[in-house]
Amino acid sequence: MSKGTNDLVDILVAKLKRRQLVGSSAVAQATLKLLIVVISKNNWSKANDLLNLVRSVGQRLIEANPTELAIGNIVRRVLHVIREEFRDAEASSKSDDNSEFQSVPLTTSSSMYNLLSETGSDDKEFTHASSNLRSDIIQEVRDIRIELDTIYENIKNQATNHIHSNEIIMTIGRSRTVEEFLKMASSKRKFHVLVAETAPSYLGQQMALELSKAGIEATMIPDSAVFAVMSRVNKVILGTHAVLANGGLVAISGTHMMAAAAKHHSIPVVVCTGLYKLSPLYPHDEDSFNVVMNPDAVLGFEEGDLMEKVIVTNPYYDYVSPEFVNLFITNQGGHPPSYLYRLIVENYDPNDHTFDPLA
Amino acid sequence: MDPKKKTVGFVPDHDADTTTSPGGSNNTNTVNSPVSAFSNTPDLSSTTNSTTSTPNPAGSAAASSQPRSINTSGARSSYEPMKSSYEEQWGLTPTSRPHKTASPRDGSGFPAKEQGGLNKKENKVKTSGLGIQPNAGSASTDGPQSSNSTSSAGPASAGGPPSSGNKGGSQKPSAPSQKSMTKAERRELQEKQKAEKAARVSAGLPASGKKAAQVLNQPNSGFSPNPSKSLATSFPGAEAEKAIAAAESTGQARRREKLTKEIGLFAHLDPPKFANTALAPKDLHPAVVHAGLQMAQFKICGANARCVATLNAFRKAIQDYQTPPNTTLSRHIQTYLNPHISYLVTCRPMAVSMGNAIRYLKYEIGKNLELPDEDARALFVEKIDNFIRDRITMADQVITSLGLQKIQDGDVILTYARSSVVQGLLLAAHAKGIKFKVIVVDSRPRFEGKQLLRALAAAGVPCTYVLLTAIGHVMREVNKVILGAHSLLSNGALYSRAGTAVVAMSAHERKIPVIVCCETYKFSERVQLDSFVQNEIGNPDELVNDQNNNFGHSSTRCHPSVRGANSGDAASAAAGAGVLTGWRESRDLKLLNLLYDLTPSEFVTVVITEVGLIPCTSVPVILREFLPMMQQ
Repeated sequence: MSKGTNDLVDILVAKLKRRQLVGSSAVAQATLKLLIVVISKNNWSKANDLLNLVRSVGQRLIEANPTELAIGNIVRRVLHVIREEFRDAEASSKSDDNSEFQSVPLTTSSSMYNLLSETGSDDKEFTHASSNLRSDIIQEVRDIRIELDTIYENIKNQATNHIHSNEIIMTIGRSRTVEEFLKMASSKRKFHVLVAETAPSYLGQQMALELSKAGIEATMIPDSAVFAVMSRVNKVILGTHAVLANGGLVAISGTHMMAAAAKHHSIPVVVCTGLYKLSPLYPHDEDSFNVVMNPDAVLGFEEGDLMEKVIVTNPYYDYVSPEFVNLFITNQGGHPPSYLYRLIVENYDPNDHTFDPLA
Repeated sequence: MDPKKKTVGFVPDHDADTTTSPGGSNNTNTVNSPVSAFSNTPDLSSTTNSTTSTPNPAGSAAASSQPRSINTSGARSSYEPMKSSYEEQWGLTPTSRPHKTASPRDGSGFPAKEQGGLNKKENKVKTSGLGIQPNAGSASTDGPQSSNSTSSAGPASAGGPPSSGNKGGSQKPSAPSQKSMTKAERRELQEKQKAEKAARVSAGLPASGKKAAQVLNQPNSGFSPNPSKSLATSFPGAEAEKAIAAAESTGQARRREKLTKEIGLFAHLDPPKFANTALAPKDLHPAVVHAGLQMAQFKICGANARCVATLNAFRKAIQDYQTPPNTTLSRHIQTYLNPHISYLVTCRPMAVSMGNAIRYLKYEIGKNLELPDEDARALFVEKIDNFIRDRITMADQVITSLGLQKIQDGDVILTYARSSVVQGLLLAAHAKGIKFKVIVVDSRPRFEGKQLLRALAAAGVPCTYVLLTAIGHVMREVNKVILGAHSLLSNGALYSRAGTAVVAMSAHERKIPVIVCCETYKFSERVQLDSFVQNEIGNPDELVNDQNNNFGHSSTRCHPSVRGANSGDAASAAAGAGVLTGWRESRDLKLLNLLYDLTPSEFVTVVITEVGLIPCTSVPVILREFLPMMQQ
């Protein structure tokens, strides 16, 4: 890796470690920007070289902050794009060789289309030398970037399909996706939003304030009132930090409680999320993607005498299992949790779920 | 009765006894018509403060020492309406008619009365009230005008649309109807009104004369739903003054709009109440006044504590009570206690526990009508003591001993907020030498669990402290959930501190047993299916994280580091302003501070009572045992 790109990677790693850069969206943007530089500024001739280069960068970024699952997702998307480009290049060179095979091999792995065709996609085939692949790949990665930029647009345009007039909607925490979704809906519909204040981060307070500024009738409730008012709510709309492969959520603390209360009252839970938050990882342990914050927000340090006698926990995220979620609204449309595995297959290569160097 | 009676009784018109206007005499008539030993005419009460039928030197002397003299001009002119809502008071439906009448939505009846009382008796309060008007400087002519218009004379506003002073009925004749005027007169009147309106607008008041009068009345009204204000009325202090200054810096007219921050789904519930002795009838026993104030400020909080405080105050009241002539103690004591009870309701909606205790007391009084005075007094005092001993103190001990059987070595027990019984049980289990761990779950805005945490930590119980949002995170390691109760309803639902339902649901979801500790005297005949029909709304300003927000509480609601931390707004954090500090300014933003919620019976595994471990659906069975008492 060239010195310049190595330094850039170091800078991003440091930012992630210090939590100067947090939040799925910001992290995803930064990762993608870095990867474009890595691909364009480094020498590689074989596919495996490039794949290993991107993997090693991805590995370092992920280790810097393992709870930001969006890093891994973006790296996997890029790897997927690289593989596809190589396959395309290989296919076209093959078809140049013997022109009677006009059909381009289908690139989507593990699709039903491949059931009857010969098994091809092996890493060996990516040793093919590159011609003008570099520009093609960079173009494809830039397309991912455009997709990231238009995610909010794509999600919020579906808002009026999901919100009817005079609805009472409940949400928790502050998610930009949900905020834009609701604001878009408010231009066409009149509805009421209940926001749980989400102690101890109090992001819900900001959310309520922002929504009310946009002219949406917002009521902030303490987290304790979630169950009490849930019976009158028509829909729970949540944002999330990450979506796991089973459809479970890693979302702001308190989401589990709200989703469970909604399930008890049979109220639909809708999750608004960009696809870049969809991770191919499974939650083998509910704590695996959680992060514990400074306890000061829960029990102030001014109560030091009490503090030293008790354990104070301030988890930032909750794991919400998929049975609590009824619908995911992504930039590609609405999907039930049971469909997510399909999106994962389409967007990521099964070889990229871990970033160990390729042979 | 005529509709007037509703308001007249509790909101006696002070103008009525100073000016002999048709309206005034009307009032007197309506009050007088239902003959009662306690319906003083306004005239009487204005001349002699002590004509009320309890010549109780101890009570009234102590009462005057209380800081509640705002309406000593008396004229709680009649206890009659209280008697008419007698069943309501004893039956203890939490809606209090007195308060309803006084709520700001209902117009200006109360402020007018309040102002009248102030002008007459409490010059000090009046001046402070006028002093805090925002435009005292810019509109010096406006000040006198306003005080005039709200007092009985009211020449300044006589020509305008009916002011609140006019509502008192004292000056109806002064403004001739427009129909009977000549054209010239009418024009003159219009000109005059226009000029007045211009003056008001320039002074920053609402253009409408009626509104302006209301606005001017507002600062002195004890019923202003703005908590800092009404609190300040009764408890002047540096903090309160700051709050007033903050409130006054915004326009009066806009404040008027801000006040209607009512949540549609909860519009049927009373707006939050605030400690205000101005509402109290003047001859309340000071012990009851004291208890009421403490409850209103949440200094006494929790079903047991409130019940014991009430009973102790009533015991003192009964001990100091002197029977008026021509009646006996047992026959009259109910009438004597009624205003005390309604006062407690005006302080804070009655707790179920208090209601049941008072019902019991009433039952005992009704049973012993023929006893001689001193015997009756001794009996009632003894009955109160016995109630506290049998139904609360001993019950708690029995519950503790039953609960101890359910706590074993190695248990991880989760509890929510603070219940006195649960605290006693956990401490007893620790004292017994059982090795267990406690997870205290807490929530805003009251952080009641901190008190429990302190007690447990001081005793050396290993504790974990989390907020309610982390319930999903901590519930995994829990193997028992022990909760307190405000009340258990007849359909088996648990009515308790808001957030209890979430805790019970999370436990139920993970198949963790939920144990509720509840004395049988908290059982209620009420049935309720959701948390909406009956509940209590707390002060919404408690939800705002700013520094002015810890009145009545030593514990900080929110640590400074949290304030504005996420917005990265260092300036606002430094100024002590929270994200929501200006929420009353925002048109579409409302805050809901719900105090209780309802946990469905399916979430509760067992209820520990002094009569044993029962399923919560057995509440009506237990209630049957106390049927004679409850049927009162």
